[in-house]
Amino acid sequence: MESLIYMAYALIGTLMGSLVAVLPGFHVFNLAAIGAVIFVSFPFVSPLGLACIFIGLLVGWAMVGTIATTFMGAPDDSMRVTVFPNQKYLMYGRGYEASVVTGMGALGSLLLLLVLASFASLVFPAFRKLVTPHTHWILMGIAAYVLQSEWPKDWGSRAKTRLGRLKDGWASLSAGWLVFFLSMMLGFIVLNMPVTPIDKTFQNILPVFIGFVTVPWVLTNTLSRVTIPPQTVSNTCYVSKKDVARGTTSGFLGGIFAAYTPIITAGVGGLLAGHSTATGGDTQFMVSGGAGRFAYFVGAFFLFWVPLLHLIRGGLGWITSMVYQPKTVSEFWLLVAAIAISGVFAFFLLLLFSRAVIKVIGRFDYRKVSFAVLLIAIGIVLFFVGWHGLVIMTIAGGIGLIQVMFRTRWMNMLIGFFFPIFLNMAGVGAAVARFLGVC
Amino acid sequence: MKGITHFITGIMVATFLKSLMVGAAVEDSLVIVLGGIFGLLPDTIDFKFLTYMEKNDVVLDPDPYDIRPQEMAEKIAEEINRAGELRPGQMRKVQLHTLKIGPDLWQSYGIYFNTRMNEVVIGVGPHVTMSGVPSPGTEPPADKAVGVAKYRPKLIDRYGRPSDIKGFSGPSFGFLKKKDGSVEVVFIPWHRRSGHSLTLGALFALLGYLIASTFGWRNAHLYPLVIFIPWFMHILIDTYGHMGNNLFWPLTKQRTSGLYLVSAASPFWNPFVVYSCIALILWNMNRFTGALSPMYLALPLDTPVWLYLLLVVAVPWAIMGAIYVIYQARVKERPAELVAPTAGAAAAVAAGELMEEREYEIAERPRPPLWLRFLGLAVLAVVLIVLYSYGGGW
Repeated sequence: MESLIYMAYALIGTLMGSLVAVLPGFHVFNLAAIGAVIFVSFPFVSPLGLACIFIGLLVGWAMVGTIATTFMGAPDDSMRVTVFPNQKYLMYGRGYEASVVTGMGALGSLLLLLVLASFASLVFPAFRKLVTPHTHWILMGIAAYVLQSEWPKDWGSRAKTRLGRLKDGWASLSAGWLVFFLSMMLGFIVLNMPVTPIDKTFQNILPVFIGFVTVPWVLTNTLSRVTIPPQTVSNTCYVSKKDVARGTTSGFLGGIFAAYTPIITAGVGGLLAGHSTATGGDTQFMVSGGAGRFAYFVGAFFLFWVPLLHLIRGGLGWITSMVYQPKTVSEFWLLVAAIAISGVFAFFLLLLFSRAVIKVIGRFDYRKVSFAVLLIAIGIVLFFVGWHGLVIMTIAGGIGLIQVMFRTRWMNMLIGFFFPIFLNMAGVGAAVARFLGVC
Repeated sequence: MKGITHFITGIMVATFLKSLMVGAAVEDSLVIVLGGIFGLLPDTIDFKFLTYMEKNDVVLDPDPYDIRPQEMAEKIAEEINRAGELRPGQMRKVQLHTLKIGPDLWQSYGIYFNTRMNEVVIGVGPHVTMSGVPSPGTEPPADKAVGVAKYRPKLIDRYGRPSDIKGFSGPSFGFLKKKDGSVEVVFIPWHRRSGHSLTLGALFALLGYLIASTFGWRNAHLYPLVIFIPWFMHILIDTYGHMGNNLFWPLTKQRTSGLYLVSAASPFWNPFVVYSCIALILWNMNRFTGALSPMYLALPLDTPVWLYLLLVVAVPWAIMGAIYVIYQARVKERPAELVAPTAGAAAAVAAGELMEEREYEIAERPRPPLWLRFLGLAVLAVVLIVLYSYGGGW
């Protein structure tokens, strides 16, 4: 009976998380932090009950978050890997199908997470022992790979001379390096220097991400005068079993890797896993994106509960750890059950909310929607960080625009921004900061 | 193979060097990353530099709204004929451009060398997205769909399949005159030449040693190894595909043929190699840093490596391989699922859909002898055994 009550808490959390997921720019961690603060003052449920609500919040948000990506184009990093196919589908009037296909990836990821649960306490503690002293070079290796593996996007240079062709080919590559460098400088400043009031420092990264992602999206939408075609809600979708299997496997591997590895996000994990498993095509891309996002967010929280691992990864793990620490194996299996039930519930909410959003966006000018998203984002930054945050957001938005204009890889911004942390882990961060004059 | 496969193979071989692993764990050294960078560097050099240095004899850049496949086929056939009149070792090169007609829309076309009929076939397909999804109704009319032109020399096409041209940058083809008078089709002739030679790898290794020793970096003697072995592994793994490498450039002039063991973009072999490399990296972490402190020890140090590889690599991948083979067999039984809707017209020609009266079977590709293919695998085994046996002392 007690377990059923916890499941009910998880379902309530799922509904709340799913509703939040439809709001572009609003992160579920903000809601969880508010919940934790309220809980400390008014303990309205048991600590385990609160943790179950949090599980539901996260699962709902991870599953339904594809709606904001597909229909309102305000993706966070974890969705960036899917943003192009999803938005392409939207422009073909197949936004609903994109939502469903991405949701199928998340459901597949849920299944794989349940399989992983049976041997997680065996694998992860051993993995942690081995990898811990080597984390710094693994992160540096990922950064090196992301930069080295970006290929030219000149679509076949027509220049007559060798130098002309080289220049064409290196236009996007050099812009990619510039984006990396500028993001790194921003990272040094935001992460090392007191640019925001002390009581807001923990929200430093929020304006950076909004600047990197939302601002360029809103500006390009507004300038390109995009209009959304009528959307079709069909009862079938064009996806093969092979696409679902390969996309789910790839996304899950990337998401779990990102969930385990500090600083690495689902986007970067998805890139690595996608390359490793030779994933390709829009459908696999969308399935993989949904799977990766689910595995990344839910997987990180899942690690917090794995017996004998003692590892906190992801924002929700840290927030929960302030009020609750899992102690027994039965609690771990309670979490697994809550994830399973919430996941299935969230998938149906995804279908329901997608239909609702289609009705809403059909009534408004997409540019006005984009502008409203920008206003919401500015409001969130002002609320959580203050005017200092707006300055950071503007700078990050400028860097994001370079990325969009030159079609460079989005990961360069992310890897660049967190590169100072990689350098710190390798023990050379301070020296590099001094050399660059940003300390 | 995919870039990440080369990168992680480079990292994997670097982790066999004990001094680097201990240095990474104790002193936060980053030298291991060099293994990954040099593991991928041959492709970096080719695709970011050498591709732009290539001088082509003919560039075909058709108007996407008025493609004339017959003219294109005739131009290419003419180049093959010209190549037939060259001295042995000389080459004519043709560049084909992709035709971008929208932010994510391309006019697709394809080329096929029908060596049985001595014909170049150019087929025009529909508009497609980058990932190959076609736009129905954009197929060309029948009279503008296919161009066929005869050539004179005996043509050897080791790739042996149609090439669809529909995204990114287009391919180039070299027509190389052979000593026996035949002409060989060399796919993207700028690829896997100097950038994939052992000589250039050795030069980088020497440079690495000179820099490390000049600046007095610790373990300077290991820099050449962490540069050259990953480079060598890249070339070796590439050789397992259809294309070989020009191993001793500039002493040797031409690219060799591959061993035809795997396909470079295989959804089975790429994950297999990446997974196996990760398994070996974890093994090396356990034996080198686990020996420093039990905190980092996940497996007993006396665990036999064969047992580890059997349980962690061989068994799961044997199961995966069985599933893959069964799946492939099932797909072959239903060819309709094999042919993506995106396949260009040349592919359709090859499958006999457009011009049924002609015989367009794909010719048997010349493959290297079996002993050579075993030798390729033996070299990999020797490298890994040497690294495993002696890396602990380096």
